[in-house]
Amino acid sequence: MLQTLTNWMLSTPIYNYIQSHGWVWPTLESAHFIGLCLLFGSLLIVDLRLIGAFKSIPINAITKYTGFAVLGFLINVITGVLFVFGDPQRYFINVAFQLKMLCIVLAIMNVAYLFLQLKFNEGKSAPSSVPFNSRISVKFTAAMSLVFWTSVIVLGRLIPYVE
Amino acid sequence: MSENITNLLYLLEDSALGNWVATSLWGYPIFLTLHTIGMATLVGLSLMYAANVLLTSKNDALVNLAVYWKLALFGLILNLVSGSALFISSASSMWLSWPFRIKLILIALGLLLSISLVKSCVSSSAHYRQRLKALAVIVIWLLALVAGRLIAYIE
Repeated sequence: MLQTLTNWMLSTPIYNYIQSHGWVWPTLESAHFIGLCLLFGSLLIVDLRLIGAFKSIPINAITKYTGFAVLGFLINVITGVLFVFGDPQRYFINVAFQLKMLCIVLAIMNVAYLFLQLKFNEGKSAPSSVPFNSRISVKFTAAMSLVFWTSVIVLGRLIPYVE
Repeated sequence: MSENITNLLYLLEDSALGNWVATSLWGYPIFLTLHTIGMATLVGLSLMYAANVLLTSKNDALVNLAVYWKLALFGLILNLVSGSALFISSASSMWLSWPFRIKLILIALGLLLSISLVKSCVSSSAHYRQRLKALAVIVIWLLALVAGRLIAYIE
C-alpha cells in the first residue's frame, strides 16, 4: 500500500514542483520551524500551568494560547505533508519518521482526552469538589502532552540520521 | 580573514569536542536536537509574550507571563551550549557563512527586545510602544529562524 502511495506521490505535479524549485524546501523548513515554535511555546504555557506550575496565573487567562498551538500544528501538518510529497521514498521507510507519526497520533489522542475531561466537567450539573485543573488525570495528560511533543521534535531531527 | 582567526578556527575544529561532533555517529544529531528544543522553548515563549501584548486590548491588564521567562532563559542556555558545539564542529566554514552571521545578529536583537518586552509588561496594560516592540519581537525571531535554516543552503 505504501509503495502504491509513494508511486502516486512521485507522479504528482507537487513532487515535480518541489524537486525542480530550489527555494521550496528551505521555505517549507522555515515554515515548519515557525509552526514548531508556535506549537511548543503555547503548549509550554498551557501544559505547565495545568501541571500545577505558575499558580499566580489564572487558568482561564491561558486558555487563549491553545489557539496558537492549533495554528502551529496546522502549519506543520501542511508543510509536513509537502515534505513527504517532495521526497516520499525517503520518509515512508524511515524509522524516525514512523515513530514521529506515532507520537503525533498519541499526542492528538492525549489532547482529545483532555478536551473530553473538560467537556464532561462542564456538563455536570453539580461541579466536582476537586477543581478541574487539580485532578491528577489532568496533570498527567498535560505532562504527557509535553513528553509527546518533545519526542516529536527529537524524532523529527533524527530523520536524516537513521536512513 | 586574518591568520590568527583562521588558526583559532582550525584549532577549534581539531579539538576533541569538535572532532567528536563532526565525525561521530551521534554527536551532531544530539546537539542539533538539543538546539531545536532550546529554540522552540526560547522563540516559542518569546512569540507568546509578543502575542500576549498584541492580543490584549488597551483597557485590559496583561497576563503576567514573566514567570515563564526563566524557562525561556533555560532554552537560551541550551541553545548557547548546543550552538557552540555545532559551531566548533565546522568553525572555519561557519565563520564565513553570511546566514550564520545574520542569524547571530538577529538572535542578539531578538533577545534584547524580548527581555525589554518582558520587563515592560509586568503588571501593566499594553501601550502603543509595547505593541510596536511586540511586533518587532515577532519579526526578528521569525527572521532569525529563517536565517538559521538558510545556513545549510547558502555558502
